[in-house]
Amino acid sequence: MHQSLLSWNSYRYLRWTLVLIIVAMGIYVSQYASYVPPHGGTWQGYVLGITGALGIVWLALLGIRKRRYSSRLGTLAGWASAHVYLGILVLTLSVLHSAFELESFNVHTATFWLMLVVVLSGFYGLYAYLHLPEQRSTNLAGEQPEHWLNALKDIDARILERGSRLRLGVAAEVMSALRGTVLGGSGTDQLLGRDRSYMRLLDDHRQVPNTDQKTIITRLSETLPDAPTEADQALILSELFSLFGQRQLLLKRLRRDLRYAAWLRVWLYLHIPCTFALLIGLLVHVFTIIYYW
Amino acid sequence: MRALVKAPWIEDSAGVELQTQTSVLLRTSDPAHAKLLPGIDFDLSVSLEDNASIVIKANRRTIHFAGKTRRRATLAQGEACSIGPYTVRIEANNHGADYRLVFDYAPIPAIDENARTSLSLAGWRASRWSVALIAIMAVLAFLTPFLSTLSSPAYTALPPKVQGLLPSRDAWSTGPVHEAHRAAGIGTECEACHSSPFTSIPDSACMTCHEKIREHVVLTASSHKAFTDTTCADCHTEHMEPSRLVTASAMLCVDCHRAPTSWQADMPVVTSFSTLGHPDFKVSLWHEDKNAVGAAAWEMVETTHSLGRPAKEQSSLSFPHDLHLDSDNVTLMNQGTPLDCSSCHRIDSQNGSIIPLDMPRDCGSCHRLTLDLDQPDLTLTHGSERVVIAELQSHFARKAAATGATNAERRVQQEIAHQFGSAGCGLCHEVREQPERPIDERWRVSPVRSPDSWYRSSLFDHRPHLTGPGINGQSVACLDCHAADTSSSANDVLMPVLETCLSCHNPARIESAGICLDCHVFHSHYGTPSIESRGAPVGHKMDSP
Repeated sequence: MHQSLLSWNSYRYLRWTLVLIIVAMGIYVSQYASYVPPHGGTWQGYVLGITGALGIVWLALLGIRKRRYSSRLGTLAGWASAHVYLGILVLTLSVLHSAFELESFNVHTATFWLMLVVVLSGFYGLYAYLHLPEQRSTNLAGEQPEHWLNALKDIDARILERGSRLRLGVAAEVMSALRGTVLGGSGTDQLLGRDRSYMRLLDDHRQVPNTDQKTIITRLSETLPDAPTEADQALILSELFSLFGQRQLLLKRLRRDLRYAAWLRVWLYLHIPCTFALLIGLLVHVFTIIYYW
Repeated sequence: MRALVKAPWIEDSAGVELQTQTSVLLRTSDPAHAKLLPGIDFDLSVSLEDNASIVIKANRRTIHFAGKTRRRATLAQGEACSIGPYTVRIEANNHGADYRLVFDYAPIPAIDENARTSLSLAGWRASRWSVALIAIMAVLAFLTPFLSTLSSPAYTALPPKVQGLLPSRDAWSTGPVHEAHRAAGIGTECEACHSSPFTSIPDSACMTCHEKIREHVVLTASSHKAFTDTTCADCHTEHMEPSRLVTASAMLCVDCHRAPTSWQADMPVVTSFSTLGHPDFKVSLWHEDKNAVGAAAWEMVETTHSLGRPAKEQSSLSFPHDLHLDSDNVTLMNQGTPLDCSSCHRIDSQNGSIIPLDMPRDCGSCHRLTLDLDQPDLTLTHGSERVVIAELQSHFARKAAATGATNAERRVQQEIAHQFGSAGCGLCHEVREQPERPIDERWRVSPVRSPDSWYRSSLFDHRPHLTGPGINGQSVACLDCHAADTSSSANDVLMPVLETCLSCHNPARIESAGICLDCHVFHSHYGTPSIESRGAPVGHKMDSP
């Protein structure tokens, strides 16, 4: 399905795009037959600019169409494929329209840079959609995230049950480690897969990081050798030790999944707002050109 | 009244007994003296009040009770609160006490409701960011530049510091204003050229300053039709990167000049600067019309000047360049220093052209117009026969009076004849003697018919040519282009021909092959003044900013 995004209908839109890029380049080069150097204000510049602007508006509408799954206007894969290739075409048209005059910073070049951000973030989005789902699926071993969440809940229930029978001080730390486990977190934490889990030490009441459950596992392993055998305390400890080991692996897997999910969506936070900013920039660009005709 | 505290860590199934007004510390930072409550990492104490309610206190705001998180909760029978992983409730007791406080483990969800497990749950909202960016763009890209454009009080009233931070109307400029316009003080004055919104720049906007500019053609000539509907801005594009007002393209000329046209059949055909693509050079020379009389008899005529057909000029001058450059014959002030071109010809430091010769300044230091050997410092005024004769008469009359000489009149006659002879004016000029005329009209020195510039439609900057590398990597000397050292006649036109320029500026040396405007002038001096043909408001001066 993902590959078909690019190759949809035997690369129909790729072929269209290549043809249109060649036509656009021809139009651009034809400016050299005139004594006025290429720029956005020649008739060729206007043709390239107006086509590019219409392309941008159409792309923005396509973005809406892609999210309206109930529409019967063409297939979703077809629209997505057109969106990708039209993005490449619009990038080419804008560069040619600007005639590479992008040194100054003004509303016109700002609009171009916004367009570049939109297209480049789109390229990233395409890459993400083509590659990350597979990695995500490998990480989840073909299961849904809920499967592993349920496994985590199961382990936590077992840890709670064991913890409730533990009469040693470390029981408080076990509970604290459960309570202090953080999955997700801020946007950057999710993107970087950062683990901000924590727990409190019994002895000095200090809050310490429990990244990858390492602190609690260390504490359990320290307690284990001297554990009393009465009331199954040693047995409970060794079970907890094993459970936290499993918990560590599960949390790593879930955290990786959150990271993939975040990287699958993060580009939209550039792509969508910059598209709106681009549309405003485009309006201002057109208005100022007409105002200072 | 008694109450029991029943909790998982208490081995005795009956729990811990609480008497009225006593309390039990459940968790403290000193684990040796505390009842351990797994999952609770703060101090918690439970006490039984007189009124049969149980008070739970924590040293931190950790007790969730009646919808709030608090440090202290007072529970009556049947009520519950939650503390950490526990649900705490008061039950009726069946173990002999009045009440029982039960700590139940509450399940800890692996991911609680508040876990931020997606970017949107972490507060990232594309919609919010979009609205913010739309607002930023609307204000910075449109509102403030527009208010600045309108010089609206809403903008001008802002403190300068704030204005400096906000984009002004400069943000709407598509590129830099050319330095010539910036130097003229209109670099930030949009309305100097954009005189009214939604209309293209009128020629009048240009001609308020460029009032002396002339058209490429004469209005009465048929070729002026080629420029109908052409405006200044069609060729002169502002706001370009890199900034350029004059287009640097051969197409500017070649698009019309590449073929003869119906409206200008005699137009020279040019396709490139090459032997085949460019016509032979034409020099402008004074030409005498034998049928006309006086000043009207002389007109400037363009004459082909090529290797095969070098132009000849009727300058009426007699000047052998070869003799002057031959150090065996001529040295500077006869003092042994050979002459070179710069001994007489000066380069204008402003534009690199050659300053037209001025006899007293450029020739006079050697060719002094002395009139009396007794007074070698005294010289005649160059330029007018009558003035020369008057000066001679005056001088020798005064000298005769002073010395008492009686032959003054004859002496003057001799001196005048001498001065207009081959040793005087006749050395360089054509002098005609008409013996029948009175003395002050007898000699006529023919006017010099040599133009100030032979290539009137071109610009030539001598400076880079004298310092830049020439054909052999050597600096170009004057004689490389002007063959003065082999010219014995002032009728020789010593201007370079097409091949002279092509020896360096040829397509084989692409980097030095220029465009038409490197040498030619578009707004030529003979064109109709633009202000006449374009109908710009005469006398309308712009207020200087």
